[in-house]
Amino acid sequence: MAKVKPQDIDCVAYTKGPGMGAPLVSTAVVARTVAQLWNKPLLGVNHCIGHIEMGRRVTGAVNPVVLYVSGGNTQVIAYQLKKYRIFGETIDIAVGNCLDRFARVLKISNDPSPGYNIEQMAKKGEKLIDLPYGVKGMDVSFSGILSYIEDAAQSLLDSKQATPEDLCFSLQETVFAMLVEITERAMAHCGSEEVLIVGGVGCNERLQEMMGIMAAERGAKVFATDERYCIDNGAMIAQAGWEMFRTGHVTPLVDSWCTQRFRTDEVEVTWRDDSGEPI
Amino acid sequence: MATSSVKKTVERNSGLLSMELRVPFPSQQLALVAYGSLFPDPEPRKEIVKKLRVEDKELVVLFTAPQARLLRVAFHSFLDHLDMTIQTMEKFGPADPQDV
Repeated sequence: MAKVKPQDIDCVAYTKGPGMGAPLVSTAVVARTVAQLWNKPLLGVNHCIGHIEMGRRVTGAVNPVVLYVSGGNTQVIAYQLKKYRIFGETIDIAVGNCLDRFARVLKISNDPSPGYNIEQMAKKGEKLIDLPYGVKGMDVSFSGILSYIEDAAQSLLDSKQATPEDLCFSLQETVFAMLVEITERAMAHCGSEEVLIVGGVGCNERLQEMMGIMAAERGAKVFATDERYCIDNGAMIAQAGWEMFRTGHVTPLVDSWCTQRFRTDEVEVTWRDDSGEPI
Repeated sequence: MATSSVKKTVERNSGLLSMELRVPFPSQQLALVAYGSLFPDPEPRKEIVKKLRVEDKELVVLFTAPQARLLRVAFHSFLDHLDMTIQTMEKFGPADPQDV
């Protein structure tokens, strides 16, 4: 327990969306109950904004282009004029979903996570298998790459043309190169000299390293966090909720319904001014 | 919390099934907290209508749906959420229920 008393608390933040209906509603019910019992204002937070604000708070990045990569989301985001605008995103499955499903094809363990185990195996990969490359303008696509590698994996392994390590290495290099490419384009467009990587896939040190090479070439800096902050957590909702609360947001009960679809650019960013500085 | 009562009726005229749930609370304040916690989320399917109100110390919920199957789904998930709010009250609520 955090040894915090109700009187130490300013407000109660919860996740309004996006996400799966049942988990969203069950936490919202509890948040509404404690907010009423303690007579505190309620704040409905966008999950993606939670990642961004947590990342900014922990790393000290001021006005970064944000690569948000997880099992459910893949977006390149930049702040402009009161909104976190989505510059590019996946047109089908998220990058983390692609990696997790590939892990199942190779029967890679889920302990501690499939992505972590792919990353460790990829370090021993030596051969780069040619995979489809799914960048479409500013957007990316992973489902075709997944289908391709699902089909090809068994024959490549049987004919000893590739090892499981080679496949992990090749998939990581391909999908991360795609992500770095669209992130670089967003940075060029915005004139940004910072990149922030958030979301569960953001723990991947190879992704951080590839992003670092791109950033170094353009004189920019990479900000990333480890698994304590990358992976979904409650503190990120508190951090975003606090930014909202201190700049006047409150969510009345009647508006506190949850929504499975809630895009990052729907939220008015009241806590930053037009140039991105904190208010 | 005391046990709740369920009343099931079939309204032949409208072709809609309805079901009323009454949940007694130790105080009206706590019944209102439960109301405030449970009314904001609409049913995911619009054929199902869920109406909440507080009568004295009771939370009263009326469910209406065109099919028994839909009624059961709505009712089932509502009971789960009701249990969450009651558990939260027990954990974080006042020792004296009049104090909210």
